[in-house]
Amino acid sequence: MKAVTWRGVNEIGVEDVPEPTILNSHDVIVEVGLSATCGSDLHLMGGYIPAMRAGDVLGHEFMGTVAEVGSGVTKHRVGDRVVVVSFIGCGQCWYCRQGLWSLCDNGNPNPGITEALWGQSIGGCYGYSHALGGWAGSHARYIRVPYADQGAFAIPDGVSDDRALFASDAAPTGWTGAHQAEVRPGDVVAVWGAGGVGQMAARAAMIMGAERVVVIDRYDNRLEQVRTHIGAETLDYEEVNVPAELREMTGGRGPDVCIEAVGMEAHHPGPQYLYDQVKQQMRLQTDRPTAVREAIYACRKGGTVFTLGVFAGLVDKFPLGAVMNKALTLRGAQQHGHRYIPEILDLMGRDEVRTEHLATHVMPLDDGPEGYRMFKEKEDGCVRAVFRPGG
Amino acid sequence: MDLTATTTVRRPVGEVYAFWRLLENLPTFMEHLDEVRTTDAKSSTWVASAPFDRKVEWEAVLIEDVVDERIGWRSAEEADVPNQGTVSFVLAPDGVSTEVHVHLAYEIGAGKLGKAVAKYFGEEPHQQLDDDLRRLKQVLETGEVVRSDGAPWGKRARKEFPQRPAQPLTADERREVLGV
Amino acid sequence: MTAALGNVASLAARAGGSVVRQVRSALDPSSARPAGAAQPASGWLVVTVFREPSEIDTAKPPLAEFGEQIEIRVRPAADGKGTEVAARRRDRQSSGTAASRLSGSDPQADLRSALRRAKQLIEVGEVLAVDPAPHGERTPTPGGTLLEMWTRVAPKAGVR
Repeated sequence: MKAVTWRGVNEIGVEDVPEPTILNSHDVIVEVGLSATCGSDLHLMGGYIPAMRAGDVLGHEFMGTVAEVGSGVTKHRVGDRVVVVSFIGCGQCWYCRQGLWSLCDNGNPNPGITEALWGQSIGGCYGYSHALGGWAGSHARYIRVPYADQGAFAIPDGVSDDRALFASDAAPTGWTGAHQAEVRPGDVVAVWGAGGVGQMAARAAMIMGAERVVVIDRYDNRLEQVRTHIGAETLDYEEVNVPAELREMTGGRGPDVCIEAVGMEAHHPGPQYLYDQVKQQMRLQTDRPTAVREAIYACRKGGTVFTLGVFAGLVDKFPLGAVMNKALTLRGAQQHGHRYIPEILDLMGRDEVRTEHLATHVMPLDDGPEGYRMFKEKEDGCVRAVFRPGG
Repeated sequence: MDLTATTTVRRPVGEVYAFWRLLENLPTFMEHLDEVRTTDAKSSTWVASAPFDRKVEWEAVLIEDVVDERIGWRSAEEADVPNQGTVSFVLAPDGVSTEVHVHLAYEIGAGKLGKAVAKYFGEEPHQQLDDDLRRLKQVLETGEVVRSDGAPWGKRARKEFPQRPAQPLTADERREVLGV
Repeated sequence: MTAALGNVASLAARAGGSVVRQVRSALDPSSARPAGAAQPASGWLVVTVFREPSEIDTAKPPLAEFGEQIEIRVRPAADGKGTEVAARRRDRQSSGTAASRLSGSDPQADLRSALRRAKQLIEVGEVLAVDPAPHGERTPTPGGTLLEMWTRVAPKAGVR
C-alpha cells in the first residue's frame, strides 16, 4: 500500500509499504479516511527529534473505518467509524488509571531512548520516531491501532469526518493544556500560537469558563479563523507589543493562565530569535523557546504557564528567575486525549467545537511531499494539509 | 555475576506472586527462557536457548516459597552454569500496586559453555533483566507484550535503535516474529 | 530571594546598568524591539485595585492633579479580582526607550507613579514611605551612586 514516509532531514517521500496485520490481540486495523499533518511533524522533518529511520511512516492525527478486529477487542466491530487518539495508552497501568494517558508505562516498546534523554520514558505515539515507540503512522491506506478499546472512539452520526479528524490530536491536546493548566471560570487566558492546537486550547479555555481568551500569532488568516470559528480575541505579535497589550487587557495583572502552543521552532521578531536559531543549528541548544520566555514574562504573579508545544531537549536563557520570583506554576504535557475525546465528540455533535476550517488543503497521499512543503511554508494560507488515502 | 532489577506492576500482590509461582509462566516474559516444566513440588526443568541454535537445560530447586512475599530458587548441583534467584513482592505505597524486586546470581565458569553463556547474555546483562521485568509488567497489566512496527519483537534494549523502520511488517518478518 | 535580588543589584551597580538592560532584553523581548517602548498601542496605563468599582473615586488626588491632561477608565476586573483603573495622557506621549526610562526621562512616569499611589491609597489608605538610603554614614562609591540613582527613579519606572 502507499504511504507517506520520512526519508531524511527535510525529505518526505511516498513509497509502497506492506499492509499492516494484527500483531497483538488488542489491535484493530483501521482503513484511514483522513490523516492530518501536524506542526509537531515539522520537528521530525527538520531533524530536531532524534531516532527517526528512513522509511518511517508519518502521521498521528487520523480517523477512519475499522477493517479488522483482534480477538481481545470488545468495543469495536468491522465497519465502525472511529477517530483514534494519537498517543498510545494501555489503560491498565497506574498512569493511564490516573488519567495521565500520554505517560503510559506500556505503550512504548523503546523506553530506553527517552529514559536516557529525560530520566523516564513516556507512552508511544503513531508516526513519531522510534523514541516514542516506532509505531507506523497514519499517512497510509491502513494503520494498525494497538489497545484499540482504549484508543479508538466511535464517531457520533452527527459529526462529519473532517470535524471528527481533529478529535484525534489537535482538540484533545488543546483540552489537555486548558484542563491541566487548571483554567477556571473568570480566568484571563492567553494562548501563543494560532495553529490547530492553539485554536483548540483557546476553545477549551472558553468552554471551561474563561472570562477572556486571547490568541497570539502573526498570520492574518489564522487570527481570522480564531475570531470567526473560535470566538476568541487576537493579537498580532508583529504589530503590537504582546506583554504590554496583555497587561492593558488585564488591568496590569497579566493573564492568569498562559498556554504556549508553538514549540521548539518558535519564531520571534527580536534579535534573540536569530541568537536562538544559530545556537539550535549549532546544536548548542536543541529547542528555541522564544514563546515560552514571553509567556513567563507576561503571566500574572502566581499564574500558570503551560508548555503545550513540543519540546525535545534543552533550552537556553530560560527565565527561571521570573518563574521563581513571580511564584509561577510551570507545567507541560503531551496529550492525555483518552479522557477528553468523548466530551469533545459530544461538543462537536452540539456544534460547540468546530474544527473543519483547520483542514485548508485536502489532497491524496501522492501529494504528501507537496502537502508537507505547503504546510511548512504556510503557503496559500495552509493551516493543515490533510491526506485522503482513499483518493 | 550478580544482577538486581525492580519494577512496579499495577496488580495485587497475590496475583503477581501467583503468576510467578507458576514457573511455566516465566518464558512469557523472560527473553532467554524457552520453557520451564515443573517436575514435582520442589523441582523443575528449565530450558534456555543458547547461541548457534543450541539449547541449555538444567534442573532447578525451589529453596524458598513464602506466599505473597518471596520465591527463591537455585540450580541443582550438576548445572553447567550454577545460578540462583530470588524475587520479592512488596505492596507499593499506593496500596494497590506491587513492587517486584529480583536478584539473580550466576556463576560463570571458565568452561566453554560458561563462556558461551556469558557471551549470550551480552554486554548488558542487567539491561536484559530489566527488559524481562518490563515484559512481566506488560503481560500482567495488559495481558500481552506490546509490539510496535519498529520493534515487533517487543521491548528489547539492544534493539531500540537502530531498529526496523516504523512501517508494517512484510509476511516474512511477521513469520519470523510471531511464528505464524 | 534577598540574595538573588542583592546579586542583581550589585551586578547592576558594577556594570553600570548594562546588565540590567541585558537581563531585561533576555526576559522582555519587547525592549529589544525597535518600535518604541513596552506599552500597549492604546496608550492606557492600568492597575487593578482590589475593591468594588463603587469604592473607586478618581476625582481625588493623586489622579485628580492631572486634571484635563488625562482620561480615566474604570471597569470591573474578571473573577472578583477588583476594579481595573486605567489612565492615559490625552497627548499620548510615549514612554521612550528602555534606556531613557531607566535614566528617569519618561513622560509617562508621573502618571504611572500616580496610578500606583492611587491604588495604595484606595487599598491600604496610605502611600508607603521609605526611609532614606543609605542608612547611616558610608563612603560614597560609583556603584553606590548608581544604585541610588536607580532606586530614586524606580517608583516612577516600570513597564505599566
